[in-house]
Amino acid sequence: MSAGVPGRHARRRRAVALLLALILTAGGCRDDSVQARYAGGPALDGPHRRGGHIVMTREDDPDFLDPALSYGVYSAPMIETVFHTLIDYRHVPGKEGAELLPDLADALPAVREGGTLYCFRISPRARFGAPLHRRVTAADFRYALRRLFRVNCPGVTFYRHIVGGEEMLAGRDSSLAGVIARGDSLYIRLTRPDPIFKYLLAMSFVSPIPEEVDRRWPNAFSQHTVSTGPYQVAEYTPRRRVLLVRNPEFGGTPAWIDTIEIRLGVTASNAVAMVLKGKSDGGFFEMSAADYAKLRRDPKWAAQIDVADGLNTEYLWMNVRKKPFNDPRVRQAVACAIDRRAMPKVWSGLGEAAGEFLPPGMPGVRRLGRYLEPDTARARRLLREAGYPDGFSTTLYGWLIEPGPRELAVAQQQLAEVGIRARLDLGETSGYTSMAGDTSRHVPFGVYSWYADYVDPSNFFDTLLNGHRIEALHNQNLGLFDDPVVNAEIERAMATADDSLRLAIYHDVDARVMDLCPVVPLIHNRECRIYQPRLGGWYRHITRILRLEDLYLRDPEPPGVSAAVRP
Amino acid sequence: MTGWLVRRLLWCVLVLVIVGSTTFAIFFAVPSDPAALVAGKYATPATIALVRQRLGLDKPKPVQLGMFLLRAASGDLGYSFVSQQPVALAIRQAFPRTLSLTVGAVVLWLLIGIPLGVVSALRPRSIWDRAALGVSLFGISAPAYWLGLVLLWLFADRLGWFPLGDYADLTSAGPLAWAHHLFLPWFTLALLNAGWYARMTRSQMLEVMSREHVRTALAKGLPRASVVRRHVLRNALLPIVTMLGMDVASLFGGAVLTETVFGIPGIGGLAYRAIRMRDLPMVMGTVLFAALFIVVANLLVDVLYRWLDPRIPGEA
Amino acid sequence: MSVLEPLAAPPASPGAEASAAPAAEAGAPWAEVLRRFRRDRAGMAALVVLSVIVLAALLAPWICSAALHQSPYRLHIMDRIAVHGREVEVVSDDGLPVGPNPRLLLGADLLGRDLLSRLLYGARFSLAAASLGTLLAVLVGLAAGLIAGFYRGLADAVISRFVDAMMAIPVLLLAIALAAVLRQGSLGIVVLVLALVNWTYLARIIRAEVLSLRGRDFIEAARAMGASDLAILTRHLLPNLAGPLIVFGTLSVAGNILLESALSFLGVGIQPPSPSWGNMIQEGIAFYRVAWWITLFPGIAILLTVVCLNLAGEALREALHPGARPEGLP
Repeated sequence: MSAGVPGRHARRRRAVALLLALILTAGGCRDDSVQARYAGGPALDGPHRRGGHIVMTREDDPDFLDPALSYGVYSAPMIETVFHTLIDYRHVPGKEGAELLPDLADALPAVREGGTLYCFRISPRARFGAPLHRRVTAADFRYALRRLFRVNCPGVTFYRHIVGGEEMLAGRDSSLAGVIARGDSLYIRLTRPDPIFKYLLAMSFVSPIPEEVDRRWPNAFSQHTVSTGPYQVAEYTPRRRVLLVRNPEFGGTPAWIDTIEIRLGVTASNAVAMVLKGKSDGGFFEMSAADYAKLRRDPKWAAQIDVADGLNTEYLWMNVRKKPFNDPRVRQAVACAIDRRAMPKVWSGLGEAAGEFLPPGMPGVRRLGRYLEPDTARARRLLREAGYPDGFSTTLYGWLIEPGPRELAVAQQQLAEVGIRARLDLGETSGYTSMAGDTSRHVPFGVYSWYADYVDPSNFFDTLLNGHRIEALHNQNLGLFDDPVVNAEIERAMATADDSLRLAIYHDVDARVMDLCPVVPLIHNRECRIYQPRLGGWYRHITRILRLEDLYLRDPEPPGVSAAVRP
Repeated sequence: MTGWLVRRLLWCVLVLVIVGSTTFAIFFAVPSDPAALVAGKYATPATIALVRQRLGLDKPKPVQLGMFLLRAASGDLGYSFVSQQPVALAIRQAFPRTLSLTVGAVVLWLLIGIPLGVVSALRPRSIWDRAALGVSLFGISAPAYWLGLVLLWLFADRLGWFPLGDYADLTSAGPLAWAHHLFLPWFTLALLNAGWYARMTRSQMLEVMSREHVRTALAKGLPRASVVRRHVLRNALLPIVTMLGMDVASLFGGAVLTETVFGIPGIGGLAYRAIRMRDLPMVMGTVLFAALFIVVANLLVDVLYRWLDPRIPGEA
Repeated sequence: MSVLEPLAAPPASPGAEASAAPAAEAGAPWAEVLRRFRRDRAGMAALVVLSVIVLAALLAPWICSAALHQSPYRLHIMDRIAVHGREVEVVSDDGLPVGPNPRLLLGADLLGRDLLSRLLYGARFSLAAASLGTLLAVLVGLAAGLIAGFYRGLADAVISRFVDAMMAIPVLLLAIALAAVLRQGSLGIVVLVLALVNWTYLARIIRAEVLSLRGRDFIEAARAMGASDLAILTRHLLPNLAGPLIVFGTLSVAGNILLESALSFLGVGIQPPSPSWGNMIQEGIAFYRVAWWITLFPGIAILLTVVCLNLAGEALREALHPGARPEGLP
């Protein structure tokens, strides 16, 4: 052994000790999670504290900060809290949240002339915020409604029943005669009675737009927003953040929290990590199934998870005009082959197997429970009767967003059991939806998912399964289903004012759809979000994922009291 | 020397032009229709035509390439197709994170790798040598993302010593939090790369130690430590510096895998997302940016060699 | 990241060149090389393990159907199996798959597929992609290096510059870009991408070797005897290049396995449901805390294979250039 350098061993020991010390210090420097202790849950009835600043996170930038153009589940919370409209839903979770209340109007509309005339009076407390600081007039609503047709609002077809609407859609007119504004009074005349029109008036599309601002900055309202809600946009830096501050001009119930910072560019997994570390209070994202699987077993965070029904149905659709799906027996075979009980597993338990087309969370909807267990023998028999004793080959189209590929892989195997050999072709979501919505592409078989825009079955049946709604482009009736009985029943229901009668008609429509199987519902999935313990007032409204104006900061538990989990 | 330097600089510019053209060619020449790529897998012909017009793709290809390269030379890398924000701005924002990641990783892997290599060389075939070679082998053989994941699981999830993912800005969160968040990515990269340096150090040192003048010096009875320090290390370090230059340069181009696993919003993540979303200006910008570093590093290394050892001939 | 160790060190120190020369000139007596290789115990062990892995990959279909009675593609998402006498769902209602157990030796993945079967089939895909990629890279790189080194002049200038430029593009980004642009998903495309990324390294090595060889006496002698260029290339140069080629090949396959798994992990390589070690890790990454087996085993497979390839390649290199690793000092 050669003579080593004196002290080399000692130097080495010191170096190791230093490294170890560094690691341990770094480890000890981690933030201690929430200092104060809070009882778990949203504490909807708890004591509300006014003031404070919270941080929410989002991955993508808001699509637009313009109420006429924004149409997305995750942009909606920002839009809806800055831009209020004539009426609004009650701010409670569950089915009671479907009740409508006046907002910028001073009362619910008087509906006259057999349901074709809606009369509103704009409340004197309805005001535009900075920089206008003036009252909202009926003319502002008229301008906004006309503008919907002008700027290609994604939801413009909802309003086609307004007199003059069809002409505006066809480009033949630009005056929208059915909307009359006289001072504080707003009248909207429809071409025919529409029992769900009041729901359409609660959507932020109808939010008033000040003409002077829009004319001054055409096509740039997103950069020059004027608020009519409890919050206004103080700052929007793309890919960094949106800052909402209290709007002092708002005449209704003021919001609790003073300022809300929405940090952009935060992926869902990072967003969860930020909540767990106390860096943010929540966000417009859904927890991944993996995070849900872990956190629901964590005693502290289990109460902070909000599993809510988003009124959704995810389903397979088939092109009923193309072989082999033009034969209802083939479609029924598909329905019998799929084992829907596997779908909630793919979604990590966040959802229930769909035995009907309407989500049971919608008020008045009853579960049908059809095809919940697979029947491969019956499926094979149906295929034989239809002339496919050896099955057939087809392509199943879909998207890449998780857990879509896994869901479709399960469906693919189940179809293969009865002889239907489906090749999977998955692509980016927006590309897939535009391809599927283009009738000239003749897509045979695909997946789709629908969340309710408003709380009425017509949003599902009229949009997705009415043969009269088939468009060449941006079609939503993807399977081109056109059954005269179904069409007639849908339109009869849409003209029926009596709620229970209307829901009964839709129930029959659902049953008939499940018989004819133009669609095979897979799952009604649930959303899952997580919030910081210090935040209260969070809940998934029946139509909104979050109500920013209902959030508040809670008082911590007095020291010495154990943080019991309240139901 | 100056003439050689000028030639080298011209060559660097040429390389960058070739890199830009190759990237351009990949996205434009190989598939049938670049507009179709950008428009998406399922776009309609009408959409594709619109995209083509919007992107200026109806001009002849050499013109497009020329325009892009000219603008790039002045620092304008165009606007992202996806976010409509300037590419140069996005790169400028992402670069400090990549820089943070690289600097720490380099320091760590040099601190780990070179001593390992020295120990190995001084005691070949000993237990230390075998252990060092074993660690090196592990490092160069492990998949980067898997190693990162394992370390993340062990140290962040199980032991809780480090935060899970997320990036802390040096200026806003302070150096301690910054280092705390970056330690696991640094350590991952260090483990992956230290092996190369240990082995290189070892082989270079062994090789130099076998040379005539070193053997002579030792035979004359000069103390081993000073011989090692004076002759062996200095000569052995040259190739290591070369390798370091190349590695640092390629890391500046973005360590895609590490950044993905640890959620660091650096150049690698930017480039990867851009490629997936067919954001051509962003792809060209990040690739050119990365290539710039590699080219500059090559140049610096060549200059260094030239300066240190004028016997070595320049480029043919 | 350094995918391959720089086999041709830039401005190489004279010492390394000197030690490389004797073995190359002598034409690498193969019996001698084999004997030296056999003496390296680590290399031999690595070779044995590699053979087992390759054998397992080749026999995968038989192993899965006859021995395991499982398939890499069959979803058991609704099935129940008996574990330790209790009946357990392969995938729970939460979506959590079952871990390693006597029936599914390495556990199940998120869709209830047998992980071990997928691992074996994944070996087929990963090894095939890596080897074919190396093969293609060798063909192209060999040709380019030979032409550049042998003919010099304009061909050399053009090829060398092109190689330098290609090497300035970061490897992973180049691979991702190519894979994303060419319709991803097929094995052929992955092979092409791997080859395109690797050939430049070999071109440089071959060029350097040819440059040092072409001035040798035996080449001069052959030329004096009137041998054609092609004859010189095939009969005199190629055999001497065999050594570096084999070493490069082995180490390149190792690097390709890592690169292919990285591409599959990022979603631009082999697409599910075809299993590849990389995309298996990617499928399980979100659940790594609760279903650790999905990411652990493919990673170990990659690690083991690459370690063995590296050890074997190192042993080969030592066997070919015994002078490069002298003993320590007295």
